[in-house]
Amino acid sequence: MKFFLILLTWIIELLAFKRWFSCWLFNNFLYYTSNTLTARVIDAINNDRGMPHLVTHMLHNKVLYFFWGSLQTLLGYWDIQFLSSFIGFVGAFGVVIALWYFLTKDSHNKLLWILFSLSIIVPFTEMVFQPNVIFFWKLLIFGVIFQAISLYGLSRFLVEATTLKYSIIIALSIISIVAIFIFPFSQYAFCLKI
Amino acid sequence: MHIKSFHFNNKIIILFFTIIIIIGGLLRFADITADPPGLYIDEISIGLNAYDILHTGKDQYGYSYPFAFKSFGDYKMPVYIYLVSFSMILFGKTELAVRFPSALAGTLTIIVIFFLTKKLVENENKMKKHASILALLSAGTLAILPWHIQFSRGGFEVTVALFFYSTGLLLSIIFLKRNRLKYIFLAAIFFALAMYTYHTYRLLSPLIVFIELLYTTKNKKYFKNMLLAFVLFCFLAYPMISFSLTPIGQTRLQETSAFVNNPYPQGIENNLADGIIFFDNYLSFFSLSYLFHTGDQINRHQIANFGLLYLWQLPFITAGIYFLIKKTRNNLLRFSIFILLLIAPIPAAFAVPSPHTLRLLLSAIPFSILTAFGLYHIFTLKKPWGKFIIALTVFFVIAESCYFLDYYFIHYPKTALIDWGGQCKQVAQDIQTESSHYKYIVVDRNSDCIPEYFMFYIPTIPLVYADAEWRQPSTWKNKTFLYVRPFYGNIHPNNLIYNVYLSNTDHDIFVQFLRL
Repeated sequence: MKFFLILLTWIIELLAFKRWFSCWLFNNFLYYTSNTLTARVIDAINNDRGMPHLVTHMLHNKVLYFFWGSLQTLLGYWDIQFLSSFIGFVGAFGVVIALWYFLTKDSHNKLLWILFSLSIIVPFTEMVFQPNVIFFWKLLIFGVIFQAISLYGLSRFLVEATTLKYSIIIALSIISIVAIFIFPFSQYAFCLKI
Repeated sequence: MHIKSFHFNNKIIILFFTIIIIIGGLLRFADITADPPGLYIDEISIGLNAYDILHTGKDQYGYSYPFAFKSFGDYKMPVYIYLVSFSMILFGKTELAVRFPSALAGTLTIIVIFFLTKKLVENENKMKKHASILALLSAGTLAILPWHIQFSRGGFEVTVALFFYSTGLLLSIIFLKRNRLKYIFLAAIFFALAMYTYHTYRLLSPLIVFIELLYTTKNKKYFKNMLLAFVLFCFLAYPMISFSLTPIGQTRLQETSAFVNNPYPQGIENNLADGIIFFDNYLSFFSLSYLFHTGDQINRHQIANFGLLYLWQLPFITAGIYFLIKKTRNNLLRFSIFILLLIAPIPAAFAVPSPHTLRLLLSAIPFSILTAFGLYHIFTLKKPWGKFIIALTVFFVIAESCYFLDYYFIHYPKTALIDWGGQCKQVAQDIQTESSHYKYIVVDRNSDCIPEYFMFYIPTIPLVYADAEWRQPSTWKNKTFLYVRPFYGNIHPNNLIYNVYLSNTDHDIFVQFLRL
């Protein structure tokens, strides 16, 4: 039963993920390029007429905006709506569960460390080198990482399986399948269409 | 420096609490008439209705002391408008009067959350001694929370509704500890008041009262009193519930329903799609990007690139959830926080746009308490890097707050001028200046300011609103008059008196004053 459910959720994740190959770029709030950074600083200092230079330099500079903007952009990849569109509702649930186990019980698991580190590092390359990396490969890398994390979370969730846990996974799987077939274009909030 | 080594006596607690209230009050009241930079359309409607109620006992449409104000057809809940009427006794027909109840309720909510947290934590053995510190942390977090500051400074009904609702929660918690009928009766009254203040609470108030009733079913002593309070609540809420079932009462729901976007008109697909739309909308309120970065992108609800919560809160909210689940044995505490967090987006998930920051404001309470929880537990971890974490947190709290304040007080009045109707305020002020020179003033209807703006700002100056077919009346006997028209691209047209430049970032020309 466990194996069957995990297999089913993986198929759902692949079905959700497959739709993303009709995109050609992530939406602009999922990357943070030097152009975005410059535009934000210019936009900010435009309104600072009459302010002391020291204050303007302290609050609106590239170092601060890079740090702050990158963190905000990174959150986009951990957005529950992005994940539910990327690998389905059940996949997103798996990622949340994996994170929970990583923070509570499995903090010494090397595989999880590698996966979570990659999930943080890879979006940074997307942010910084956005125009130079082929989107197909980006998708593939993101897909593999998040699916692996999600499947780990789901399998960990079902280690001590109860009827309630099975019911949750089955209900989320049904919702995911219905969402994939009823709203086939829901990912366009996060990516640009071909 | 370890938080557990602090021995706060009552005087120090009161001192810190006073400082937090003063800071919270300042952030909500400072420069409130100029920032946000004008009254937006709903505030204008509230102000006009409140003024009419105060002086004539009737609303804009001539209804005596109405139960719901028709306004622009959205049928506003009554409590906020009546509060503004009282406020107008003190401050007259001004922007301050329109925003005062909201700012005051926002400040009072800081006091309520202090006692709410204190009462919730008092039962927890491990934290009992430090209940006041936790309460200070959550009150402090709410006091500087961008989300709550934003809504407290505008004339938003939701801020007052949140105050009533959180007071109801506080009284409910006190009832669950002391089992006195008066507390739960008062709670029922406050929950009912919240229903009469803002639309989303028409669902949230009955929901919480019903949950409380279910919570007490196991204990007969509590259940008996709770049942009486439930009956009182039903009695108080009955007019609103019956109103909500009428076609007029459902106007707001129909206007904002999320299900109009359902691509399937009927059949099982329609029901399934409705379910998915609701589920997707509900999840959108827990989106990290939404909470910490983009917000709902409505300029009146936020400053650009700044979410509802500070980024520094993220690790502490995560830690707060962890400690609440793993380390707390106090079921009431756990239950209250998670129930609030889970029910807050329910009414908003039925509506568009989603996520919507205004409709989610109730979540500010559990997020503030969770942040306080996370802060407390991380600061009390006996780790060698403890001091470093505290120093880093203080640095980020100060840095992000400074950033928010700079954006809010320096940039926001310029970038959000048009979203708040600041341009119409500017035109009204200019018309007032010019009015002494002209007997007749004509305003072009295409100038993007509805007549209500002028009725609020310059009610004594008679204006003629002109459409394309308007001609100068013969009774004016070729006298010159002031003509206010939109900017059509010619900076120096004939008969120009002056262009009205906006005080926004781009200094756009909004209208032109002509002498005709």
